[in-house]
Order: sequence, then structure tokens, then C-alpha cells
Amino acid sequence: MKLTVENVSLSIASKQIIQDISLHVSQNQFVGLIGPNGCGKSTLLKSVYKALEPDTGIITLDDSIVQELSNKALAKKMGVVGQFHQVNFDFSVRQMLLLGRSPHKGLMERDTAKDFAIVEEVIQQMDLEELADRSFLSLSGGEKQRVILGRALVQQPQFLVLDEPTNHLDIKHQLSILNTVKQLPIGALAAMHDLNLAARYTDYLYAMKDGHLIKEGTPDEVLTESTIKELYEVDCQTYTNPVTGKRNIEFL
Amino acid sequence: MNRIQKQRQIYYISLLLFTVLIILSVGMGVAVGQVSIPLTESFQILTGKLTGGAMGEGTALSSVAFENIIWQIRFPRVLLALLTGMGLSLAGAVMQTTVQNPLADPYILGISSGASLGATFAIMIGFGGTSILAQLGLSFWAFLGAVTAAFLVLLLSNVGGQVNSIKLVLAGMVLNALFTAFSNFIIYLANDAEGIRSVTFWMMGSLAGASWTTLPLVAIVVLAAFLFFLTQQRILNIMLLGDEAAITLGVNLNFYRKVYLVIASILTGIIVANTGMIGFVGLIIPHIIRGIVGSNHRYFLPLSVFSGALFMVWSDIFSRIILPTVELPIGILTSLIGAPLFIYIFVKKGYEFGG
Repeated sequence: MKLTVENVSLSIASKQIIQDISLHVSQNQFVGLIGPNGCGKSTLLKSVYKALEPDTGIITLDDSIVQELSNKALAKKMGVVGQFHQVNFDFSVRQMLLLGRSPHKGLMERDTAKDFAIVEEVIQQMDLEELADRSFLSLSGGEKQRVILGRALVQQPQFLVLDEPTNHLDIKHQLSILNTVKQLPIGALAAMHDLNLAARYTDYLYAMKDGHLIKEGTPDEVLTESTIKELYEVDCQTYTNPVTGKRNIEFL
Repeated sequence: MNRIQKQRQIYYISLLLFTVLIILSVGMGVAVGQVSIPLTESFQILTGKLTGGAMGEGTALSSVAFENIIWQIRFPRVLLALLTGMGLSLAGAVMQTTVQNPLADPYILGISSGASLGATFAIMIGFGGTSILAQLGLSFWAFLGAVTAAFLVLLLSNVGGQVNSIKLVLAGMVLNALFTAFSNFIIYLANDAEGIRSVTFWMMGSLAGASWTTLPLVAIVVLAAFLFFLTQQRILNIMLLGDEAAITLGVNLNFYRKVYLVIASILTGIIVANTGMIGFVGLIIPHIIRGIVGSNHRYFLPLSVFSGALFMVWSDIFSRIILPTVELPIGILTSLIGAPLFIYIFVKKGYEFGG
């Protein structure tokens, strides 16, 4: 599925958070969104998954306008890994994953063998066997993050939105999460902090500052010394990593 | 899946077990009291009445006096206990989920203080005395107070956009303080010793007011609310994840939260109006069940309701027999039994709000 964001602006409590943002994610593309803290990445993602309503602009997923879809209809198409894992009540990891089937279910409909099979499949795919019977609250931040991605996959989405998916994760699981996302045959839009990982995994990058898009292009085009200086106000040197052949950034 | 099937099997067996226990307990409930009536005879009278004379009745043993005690006094009372237990557990469970706070109980939206104010008003200013008319008036005012308080809390927490759990709890506390102040003001100015005793007694809760005239309304409201929330188990589960996560799973909680709170408030209001304040049931029963079966509302909700009913029927039985000559207000007893039970589970199970 392809996502198009056209001229979206959004203000919260009369403060302009994002302004006139347009971006595009085509089928199967892994698109990254980079920028300093508070630049509006999360707000933009929230308007994509309908947690916030943009003031102007249009967001479309294939042919349907996201703002006009019901929450449920959208949840059938779009999985989200956000930054909200704060819960006061406990669930087992399996149950948490099973909640991902909710958008596909009617009010009185029971969970079927098929639903359980999908959950088991994701447990395998995400390497969650050891966590499956533990309680969600007892997990570490990184483990929770993996379970949440698992839940999004249980939704069987055709598009994935990720808000800093590698937060709290050790290097093994950072790579494993990004590999998982990369291998999925669906489009994905992810806000990312680690520029080297962004360079390695994304197909296309948008750079955002103060609510505006300041640059877009392939990682090689966007991750230049001048753009990074403009974005984060730090000096760096970029080079081609001889091992991966990807753009690498060394901060000075 | 095998594990799931097994889980379901255990669930259905426990529901069955609860049903049997509840029926037996109701039988105990009508047999026990100041006038002790043999258990077998109690059952005969009950089954006779319930089946319209087809079974059990007509035995030589059952006297008209026994029949009156059982049918007019004890049976409605036990049924009220049953419904109150169901209703308070249900309301407590739903409130905890809806405000995403394990400390919530059925009275959290200021319902207790609202009902108290209504009752205080009725006793001190409106209708003193113990006539049936006064009793009805008391219920009406208590209900009015409870529901008014709940709606004010909802209104207050709705200011400036979305209702969220912190706003709800805070608004509930603020209105609690305000309503309690009003109640105290009335009590202080009225300076009426008899009235103060009535208010205090009312606040401790009692099932003694049970009668066939008021039962149907309670029954309809409790059962309707129960059926309604049974259909909402998916949304209740998702509600525990919070607003943002719920949106990504296709549910906008803002709407459902309001609907659930209104229904739970009316439910609690009706019960409070009939029984006064019965504390602790709505807090601990959901907690205990959550601790045992987890937070999945498919199992958690029905089991809470059933065990709440059982707990209440037995609390009522004990409240009638624990002191030789008088009856203990049931609100005292529910806390007396409930608190140690809760501490036990808290300590013993390393309780984590439902894992």
C-alpha cells in the first residue's frame, strides 16, 4: 500500500507543530523520517495514524483518505508501533499479541483457531518464544517494544508506522527489528534517531526541522555533512563504510 | 489451540461451580436468621413458591409464619444481596478499566458523597421517620444525589476536550469534598441526634430494606448492565492499553469511556439508593479475580460478577448471625472480611494488578 501525505499542517493549542508537510511512501518502500527532538516527527506520524486531526491537508492510503476512514477500518490496514507502552494492568504477552486481532473482529466474535495461529506465527517470526508466557509488565523496555511490533504484525497490516522503533533496544534487537520491518512486503514509515541505521535500512529519507521538511532523497543524498549540521547543529564526517557499502556518519 | 481450550474448559467449570454455590448459598441465606428455619424446609418453601406449588409446597411442616418470613423478608433480602454483589463488582471492574486505575471503585465518580448528600437531605430536611413513604423518598434522593454527582464529575472532566482518567479521578475527588461539605453542613445545622444516627446507619449500608416492590428495578438494571458489558469485552480489553494504543487498534476510547461511565454510574446509583454505602466489594472482588484469571475481560468480568454475588450473599448471612441479638450493618462486614482477604492475596501472590 502506498501512503501520500499532502500539504499537512497541524497546530496544537495555537502552536504550529508541523507545517505544509508532503511526503510519499510507495509500495514496499521503507521510508525514514529524521530530525531533532521536538521537530514534529511524532506529530506527523500521529496524524498519519489518525490520533491527531490535521488542520489542513490530505493523507491517503492507496485510494482511501485516512481522515475519512473509521478507526477500525484504518487499523485493519495500518499497524503502528508507537511510544506508549505505559499500562497499569497486566496481560500475558500472548494476550497482548492477540489484541492485535481486534480490528478484524466484531463485537461478539470469538477468537478463532486462525487468530491463535497468526499469533503463533508472529511469535516465531519475531523470536518471541521465550517471552510468550511472561507477563507484559515484567518485560524490559526493549522486550516490550518487540512485543508491540509483534502486535502490529498480528494486525496483518498493509502499511506500518513506527515511532523510533529501536528505542531502548540492544544492538541485536535493533538490527532484528529493522530487518523484520525491511523484509515485510509492505510499505513502512519510521521516525528514526540513529542516522547510521537509517542510512543502512531505509530506501528514502525525509529530514525535518521545526515542523518543516528541509530535505528529502535517498540516504546518500540526505545524510550529508551540511544537512546534519543544519538539523542537529553538530559537526560530522560522512564516508562510505567499506564493509556495508552504505553511508556512515562519524560525529566530531 | 490446546492451552486455550483448556483455559476455556476451566472457565466454564468455574462458572458452573459458582452457579451451584450461589444457589446453595441463597438457600442458606433464607434458612439462617433470628428465627431459624430448617434448611430442608426453607428449600421446600422456596421451590414451592418458585414453581407455583408444583414442587415441594404443601408439606405439613411448613407453617404460614415460616412461609411469610422466608418469602416476604428473607428471600427478597438474599436476592438483593445477590444483585448488589453482582452490581457492585461489575461497576467496580468497569470503573477500574475505564479510568485505567486499579484504585478505582464504584463510588469513584463522587457517587458515594452524592448519594450521602441526597440521603442526608432526605433524612434531615425532607422525610424523617421510618414509614414506607419515607424509605422510598430516601432511595429516590440518594439515587438523585449519586447520579447528579457522577454527571457533574463527567461534565467537569470533559472541560477542555478529552476525558482522561486523571481528570476523572481528580474531578471525582473535588466533588467528593464539596458534597461531603454540604452533607456535614446540613447535619451540623440540623443538630438532630436521631437524624444523625439514621444518616450514619444509612452510610454503613443495609439490605434490610429489601422488598418485592423495589427488587425488579434493581434486577433489571443489574442484569441489563451485565449483559451490555459482556458484549463490550474486546473494547474493555483494549481500554487497558490507553488512548493512543487503542486508536492504533481501531477504537476511539473517548466515546466508549463516557458511555461506560454513565452506565456504571446509573448502576451504582440504583444500588446505593437501595442499600446505602456498601464499601470494598466493588474494589476487592475485581482485584482478586484479576489476580487469579488476569485482565482478559472475557473471563474476568463474568467471574467478578459471580464471585461478587457469592461474597455478598455470605456477607449478608454473617451480618445476621455474627451478633446474637442485633444485625451488623453489612458495610462494616464487607470491609472486615474483604480487607484481610485482600491483604492475603496481596502478600501471598506477589500481586501485580492482574498478571
